[in-house]
Amino acid sequence: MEREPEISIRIFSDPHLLATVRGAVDGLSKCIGFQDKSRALLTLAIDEALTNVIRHGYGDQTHGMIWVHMWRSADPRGLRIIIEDLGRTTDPAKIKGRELDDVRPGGLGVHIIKETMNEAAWEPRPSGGMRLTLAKWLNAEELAASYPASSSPEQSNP
Amino acid sequence: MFVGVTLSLLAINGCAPSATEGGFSNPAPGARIYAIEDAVKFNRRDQIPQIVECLCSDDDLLRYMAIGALQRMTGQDLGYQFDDSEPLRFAAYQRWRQWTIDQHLAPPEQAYASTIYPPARQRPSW
Amino acid sequence: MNTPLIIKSSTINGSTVLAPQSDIDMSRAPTMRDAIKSALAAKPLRLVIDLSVVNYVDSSGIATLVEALKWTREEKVGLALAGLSPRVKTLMEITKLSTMFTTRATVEEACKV
Repeated sequence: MEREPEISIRIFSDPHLLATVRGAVDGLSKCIGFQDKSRALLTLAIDEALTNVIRHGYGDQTHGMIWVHMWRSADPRGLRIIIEDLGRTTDPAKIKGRELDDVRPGGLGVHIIKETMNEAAWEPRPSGGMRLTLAKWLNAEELAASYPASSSPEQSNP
Repeated sequence: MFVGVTLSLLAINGCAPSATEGGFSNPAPGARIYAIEDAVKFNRRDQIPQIVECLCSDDDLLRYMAIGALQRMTGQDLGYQFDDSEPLRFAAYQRWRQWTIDQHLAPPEQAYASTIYPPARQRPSW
Repeated sequence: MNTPLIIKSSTINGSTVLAPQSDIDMSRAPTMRDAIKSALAAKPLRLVIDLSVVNYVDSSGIATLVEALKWTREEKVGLALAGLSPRVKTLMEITKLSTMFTTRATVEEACKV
């Protein structure tokens, strides 16, 4: 059984609430050891994922539910996030196609999610809505910076 | 590469002013940007060749919007980066032209009339 | 829950300065967009967007800045961004927009561009 997430947030699908989730993502990612550029990318990617849920899952309605669960990952070291909603279900194979409704030229939207995260997978939830599972690992520089000089990575794993 | 522009705000919320009308037949970068926004919004794949031509523009914003639109419509960038040096951009532009031929979006002789840039490559103003 | 974006506006040497007072995200980008449009309607010499109080800009905010770039080029009005925080600078670099915008550390410097 997977352990409980370090942080779980439930928000309404209201864009004004995204800043709260950004703060949590930024804070936890800093604890894990992500450096500024990684944290900026993570924040942007999660923000984009939530924006997609609001726009496409809930059609910009603000009364929908969105759950964001975050875990520290020990091996590989990094951050795991699951975003769940009860909005419109989409065929994961068509996630790219759905972007055409939101006419952003590449880079943001799904592209930034795929470019930023080491793992990104969309799937319909059995009880309705969608689940997005994300993971990002510390890069070599962040790994080296996150371990004390006197210890090895194996000794320092939480 | 991240090319981050929300064309939805650009396309949905504004009407193109008269100075920027004419679509791809207007050499002004502003007109072409509006044309790109419309092409993406309505998924006009037949206009992909014209968007590809915009990759050669001297205007960085037009190039940025063009490659962003192509990424959005095709899911790829074929290595084109709007801020690369001109030789690198031109090489990627050639790849895109070949892609439009392979996808039957452009005639095989690559002779589709470029109404965009005459051979002298004069720089259109906004 | 509505936290509207407050935008302070001023004029310095013919430049219109717009200073959003919080992050520019999906919820606030339309307000910023309208402010930019209004500012340009007055045909300033230059538009300066003071981002010194802005710690985050999402894709909607970035799109608004790009739209400002498009409009100012159409109107032949200068555009500069001032006071970018390290996080906003990073976001601009991530989206490769840092090469397209004129940026300065302060509003005063941006008004002289």
